[in-house]
This record gives sequence, C-alpha cells and structure tokens, in this order.
Amino acid sequence: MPILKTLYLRLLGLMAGIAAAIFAGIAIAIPVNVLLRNAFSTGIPGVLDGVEYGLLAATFLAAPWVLARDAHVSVDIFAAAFGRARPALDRLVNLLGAALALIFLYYSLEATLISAARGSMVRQTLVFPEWWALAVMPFSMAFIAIEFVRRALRRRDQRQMIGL
Amino acid sequence: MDWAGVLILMLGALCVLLMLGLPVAFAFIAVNIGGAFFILGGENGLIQMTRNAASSLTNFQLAPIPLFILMGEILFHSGIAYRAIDAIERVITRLPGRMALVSVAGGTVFSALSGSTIANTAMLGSTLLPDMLKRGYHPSMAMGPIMASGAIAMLIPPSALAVLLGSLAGMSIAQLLVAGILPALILAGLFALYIITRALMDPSLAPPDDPARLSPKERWRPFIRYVLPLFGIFLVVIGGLLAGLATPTESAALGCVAAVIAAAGYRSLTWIGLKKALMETVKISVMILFIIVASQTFSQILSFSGATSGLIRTIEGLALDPTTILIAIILILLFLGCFIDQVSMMMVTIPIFVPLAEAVGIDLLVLGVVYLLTMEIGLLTPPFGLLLFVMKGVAPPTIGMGQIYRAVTPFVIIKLAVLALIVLFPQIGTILPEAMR
Repeated sequence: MPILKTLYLRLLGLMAGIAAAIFAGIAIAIPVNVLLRNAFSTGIPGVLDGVEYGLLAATFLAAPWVLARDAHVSVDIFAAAFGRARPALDRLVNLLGAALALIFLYYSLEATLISAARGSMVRQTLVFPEWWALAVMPFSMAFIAIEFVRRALRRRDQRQMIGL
Repeated sequence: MDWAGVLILMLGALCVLLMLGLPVAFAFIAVNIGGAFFILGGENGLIQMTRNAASSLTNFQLAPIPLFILMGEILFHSGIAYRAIDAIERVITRLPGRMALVSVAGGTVFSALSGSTIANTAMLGSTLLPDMLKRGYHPSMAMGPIMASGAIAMLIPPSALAVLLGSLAGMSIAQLLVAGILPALILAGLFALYIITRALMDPSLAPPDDPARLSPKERWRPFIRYVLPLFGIFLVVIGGLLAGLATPTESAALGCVAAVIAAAGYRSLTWIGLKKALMETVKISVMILFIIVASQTFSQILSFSGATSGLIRTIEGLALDPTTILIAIILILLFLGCFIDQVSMMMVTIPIFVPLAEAVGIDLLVLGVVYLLTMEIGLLTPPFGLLLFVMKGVAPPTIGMGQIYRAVTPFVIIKLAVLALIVLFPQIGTILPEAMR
C-alpha cells in the first residue's frame, strides 16, 4: 500500500508539474509572439488556441494536486463551530465531494464519448478532435474523487491560507 | 417553480454547502448539478454543464491570472521584494509613525508588482512587524497599516482578481486594471495622513525611532538600486496597457519576462526559486480557475430560470435611482465579504448585478471599481477577512484576533470613506481609463 500511495502522490505531482510547464510555456510563448509580430510581422501559429486549451488542461490536471494540498478555498468559519462533531462533518463533506466528482466524471465522460462518436473537431487555427480537450475532465475528476475519499478516511489537518 | 423559488433554492443551497466547509468550487458544482438537471433539461443539461466547464476555461482573457501571479511569485521568491522594503525604510526618515509609513509605501510598491494581497501582507508582516513591535510600536499601529496596504494589491495592477472580474462581467479588462490606480493612490495617501496624525496625537503609539545615521549615499543608493528598477517592471505592464499597445495577457506575459530579467540582474534567479514560484502559481491559479469551471452554468441556470430577469424587473419596478441601487449593491457586497471569499462573491453576484447595472444605467467601470474596493474591504472584515488570518499567522502568539480586528478598523473606515467618494465622484474610477480611450 505505501508503494501505491507513493506512486499516486507522484502522479499528482507530475500532473501539477505539467500544469506548471503549461503556465511557463504561456509566459514564454506570448512575449515571443509579440516580438515576432512587431519585428517580423509574423507570429507563432495557433498561440491563442494553445493558451486557451492550455488553461483548460492546466486547471484540470492540477486540480487533484491542489485538493491533495488542501488548497481549494473553503469557508471554514462556520464548520469550526461544530466542535467535537467536526471530524464527522468533515468526513460527510468529503464523501459529498467524492459523489459530486463522480457525477461530474460520468457526465463529462458522456460528453467526451458523444463528441468522439460525432467526430466533432475544434476548428480554429489549430484543428484537432474536440474529445482530446474534453477528456481531461473525466481524467481529472477520477483523481479528485479518489482524493476526496482519501480525505474522508484521514484525520483533518490544518487548512492552508489560500486566496488572493 | 417561479424565478424567486429557483433563486432562493440555489443561493440557499450554496450557502448551506459553503457553511458546511465544502470547497467553494465543489459547492458551485453541486448547485449546478441540481440546477442543470431540473432547469437545463435532465441528463442533457448535465452533459451541457460539463461542456460549459470546458468553455468557461478556454478563454484567452483568463490568461493574465496565472501570469500576474507568476510575476509576483518570481519577485517574491527571488528576495527582491525584501530588499526593496529595506531600501524604502532607509529613505523614509524623521516622520511621525515612520515604520508604519514604510509599510504603506512598501505595500503600495509591491502591489504594483504582485497581484496577490496575501503574498503582499505576508511579506510586509514577516519583515516589518517584528521590527515595529521591537521598536515599541503599539500592535494596532504596527498591524493596521500592514493589512490595509497589503490589501491594496487588489486595486493596483497587476491584479489577478480585476482580470477575473473583467472576464466574468464582460468589462474591458485593460480599463478595469487601470481604473484601480487612482483610488489605490488616494487610499495610500489617506493611510499615511492617518498614521502621521495619530502618531502626532499620541506618540506612544509609534515611538520616534532613531535609525542609524546614514550618509545620503548610504540612504539613497539601495533605493536607486533595488526600488527604481522595479518601476521598470510596472511600466512594462502598465505602459503597454495605457498606450493601447498590448493586451492584458501580453502585458502580463511581458511582466513575467521582466521579473525574470530583474531577478537575473540582481543575481537572485535560481532554479529552486523559479520552481517554487511556478508551483505556487499553479496552486493559487488553479484554485481560482477551478471555481470558474462552474461560472457559465451557474449564470445560465439563473438566466434560463428567469431569476435574473425577474429580479431585475422587480428592482426596476421599485423605481429607485441608480445611486440608491449602487449603494444597495455595495451593502450586499460588503455583507457577503464578511463571510465568503472574493471569487465566490463575484460568481454569485455578477450574473445579477451586471445586467441590473446595465438596466438602470450604472457605468460598468464604476461598478467594477466598486467591486474591487468592496472585495478589498471584504479581505479585512471579520469574521472571514482572509488577511486578518494571514496577520494572525505572522504575528507573535500573544496577539489575539480581537487586537487584529481593532488594528484594522480605522483603515477599513478609511476604505469605506473612499468607497463613498467613488459613489459621489465616479470620475475617481473613470478618469484614467477614459484617458486611454
């Protein structure tokens, strides 16, 4: 089991690492595009599409890792009033979270499969099957469901201070 | 079910789920699942909900959010911000409440480099608070200015939440980013005035400190070296926007490059620092963007059920003037700010308030500035004001929450006064963006 846990956490870390690489890529690609546009009247083809779908991929890929680090913002102040009943409430809330993730997983998988069956394409500067983009949602939600179950089974840690 | 029933049910369910402690993003997803099934059309509605989630995020306008956060994180992790604060401290001398003024100046400068009020407050708190307490500053005089000026990052570009607000509300992001500058400078000026007045009236609050006597060269050299070049980064971000040469996304990306160049120039750029900055960016950006996943469906349900139009018709039926409606919007936002986070505030209210403002003739830019300032105040109002908890985290254990609440109160009053000024003189928010047109 510890090996499985290590592998799982490494996979979440890897997914977050890919999200970081996407953000870094956006931060590099856009100035290069500005430079090319102004200096050579050209640009990187499909940079706009790349940024848009990069945001989608990065958000869903890193969301399970963010949950594992307890960094999705939540309103703690009322739940704190539950006192000794708090652990039970937390378990219930985490199981609810897992159920929501599973519902989202099911219907996003439906949306992905329907799109693949219809052969829907994203036709902007870049042209690719739409299901490639949609598939990241059920993939992410599967890990989010697992993470909520893990949270329901473990003792509650101190929440992080997160926000802007 | 009529529109009022749908509205009450959706907002009521959202409140209950948030109060139970379910992460905000999932509370919205839960409400969306119910709403999509019953209002958007059963299982097809649920499939549409997931497609909306994807289209909410594939939006070029959202790109400045991670980029502005990355820019601030690079400067934060490279240590440049800390050196800048030290340099500012050397040039502010012989003024009553000197260190409190340093925190206002430092907070305002770093606000122009970072979009994160939390990073700003944490940095000011960890660097200046211990020193101020050691020099005999009253905790109120030490903590209040730090929290108040830390929150200014919400208004001064680069502000990630201004980008989000503009994107969700369909406002011009470039104009909104620029609109916050003047109110922020007025706030900083009023904070300084309050600090000096209080320190003159009661010197025990901020004992006159006698910094080591430095030559003019020793005082100004670090400022020229560590602070002035940072204005270059601000110019890269804001100059392009003001001149209409760059989009907010391009400005933000150029700001990231400028931050990397600055860090490299100060020999503070390390792989470890860069990696930390990137992972923090992922954490904060994804936390925000994942809430946006639910935005399109949430507003669609409110719209399809007739809740948005029904509510607007009802309010229009009251024949209130735009100022009264704006004040009512402010009061609701201030109330919400006491309990929920800023992204949720926007998600819940924008689908209703923006069409309402358009219907009664409130300038959207003024509404945008009002949103930013009320959200900033929400960061400082008990019980959920996030910056109050950030301060608790960096303050010595002997300082309780009551003391933190008391410390921030005068500054919240100043912010409320500036909010009232904006309602009375909307030009404060519109003069700079209008100059861009």
